[in-house]
Amino acid sequence: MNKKILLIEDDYFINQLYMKILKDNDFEVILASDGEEGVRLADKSFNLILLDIMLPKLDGIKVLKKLKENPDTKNIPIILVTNLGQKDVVKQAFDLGAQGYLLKMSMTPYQLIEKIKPFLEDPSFQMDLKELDLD
Amino acid sequence: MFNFGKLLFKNSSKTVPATDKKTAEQTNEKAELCDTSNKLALILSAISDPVIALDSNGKIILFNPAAEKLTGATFQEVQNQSITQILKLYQDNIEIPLTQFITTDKTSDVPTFKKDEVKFMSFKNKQGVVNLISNQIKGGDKADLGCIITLHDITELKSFEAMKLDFVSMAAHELRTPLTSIKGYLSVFMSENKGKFTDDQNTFLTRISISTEQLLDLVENLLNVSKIERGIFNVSTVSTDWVEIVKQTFDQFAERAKEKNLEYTLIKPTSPIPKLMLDKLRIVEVISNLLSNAIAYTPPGGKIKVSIKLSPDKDSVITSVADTGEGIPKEAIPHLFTKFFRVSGKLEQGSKGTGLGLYISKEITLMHHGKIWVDSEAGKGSTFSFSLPIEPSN
Repeated sequence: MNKKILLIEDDYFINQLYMKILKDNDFEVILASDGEEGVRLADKSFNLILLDIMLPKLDGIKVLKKLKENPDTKNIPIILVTNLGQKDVVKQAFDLGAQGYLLKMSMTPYQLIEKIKPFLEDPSFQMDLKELDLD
Repeated sequence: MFNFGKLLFKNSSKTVPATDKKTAEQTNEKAELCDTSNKLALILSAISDPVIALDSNGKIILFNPAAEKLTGATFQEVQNQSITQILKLYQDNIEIPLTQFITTDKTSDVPTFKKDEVKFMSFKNKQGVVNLISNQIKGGDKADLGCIITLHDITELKSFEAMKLDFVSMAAHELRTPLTSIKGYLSVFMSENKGKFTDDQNTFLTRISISTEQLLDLVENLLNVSKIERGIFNVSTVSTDWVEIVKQTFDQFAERAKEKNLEYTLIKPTSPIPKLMLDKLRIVEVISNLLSNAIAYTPPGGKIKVSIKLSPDKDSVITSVADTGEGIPKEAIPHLFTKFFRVSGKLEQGSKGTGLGLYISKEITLMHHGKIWVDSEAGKGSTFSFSLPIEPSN
């Protein structure tokens, strides 16, 4: 069965690009284009959640909090996929349970596919905050 | 408002009857002095920086209107109060003691106490940041004078600086978003249509791709300067194969060099290069900056040579990027590694960048305890080099 990914990303160009590349790689993708929609669509059927930080209606940190409070979604690995590199924000997200951080700008869509693989193979996979180049 | 006359004449305020000529002259002198003191009082009140004078016990005897405005207290409220009760001044979060301003040791010459970016909090709960200069009043102990403190309020300036830095972070985020789309769509488009383009189309797409990367570098450089200014730009080093890193980075720029028809060579080291303690992410920026500059400033058909060698003392590794570009005028060299500096004149044509790359490279090299320098002659090209120390354990 195909792995199911929830993409919470408001920028239309970027979400269309990521949807295409994820579908091309045989993932089932559901898109939420704001924070509230992300919280509404999330359920236990997902294998991975890709979460932007700067989002309309509900920002990524608040979305993360809600998803980690919900027993249905709290064990799904969440990767921040953002262009915001502020260390305090990313650290806060990791403290809240985010397991990965990817800077959109520094990767091609193909690299995104490579970077999410370890989280799908092992849902407890955790990136090391110390190894990230943050602002 | 404070009356300077009262201070100067607080022990001679009795009226002396002008009974004889001598007394009349004294009275005239006094009137002149009073006049002078009033003028001084007016001058002091016109100074836009806060000025506070203390007696030898640290009690306030002068407090000009600018000081009243800064602290939110009037002179009447603070007169003869100890400065430490009225205004707390902090250096690195530790309160500056009164002894910094006044000493009872008459034998020593009290130096001027000068400190920038001092945080303050007045007893009226007004707070901010000031630059401070305090001078002990020489010979003032006879007249019970301690010191004079001049403050320069930089509160607004500091908050503006903080805002500017936040703005840089936000601007970087806003710039990154469309750049992510360009880079992303371009890579997918090129990959999915490989082999379908004409030579011209390939060239155009490669140029779009290179320009996108340059724009991304520029955004990152702006962010890095913002990090350096905020003091959060650090290195964390691990034992690293430097030759391999140079090779990888060299390869990444091969496309750009080829585009300009440059003879682009990496000279292999003649002796083995030990592993170095490096922050890989950061140090790559140095060699990338030098390669990017060399390619940008060397006219088509020119040569770029990259080499790695041990220093004569064998205590460091020297990496050099030599080009056959325009070279750098002698007078520009001392400014080359400073922020926002760009060589003016001929080089401006077709040059790219913000003048941040070499400044960042210098900062990164220094954080690795290395040095960066340039040998150049106008018209003959430049060789940029930097050294990285070999750890004794190696």
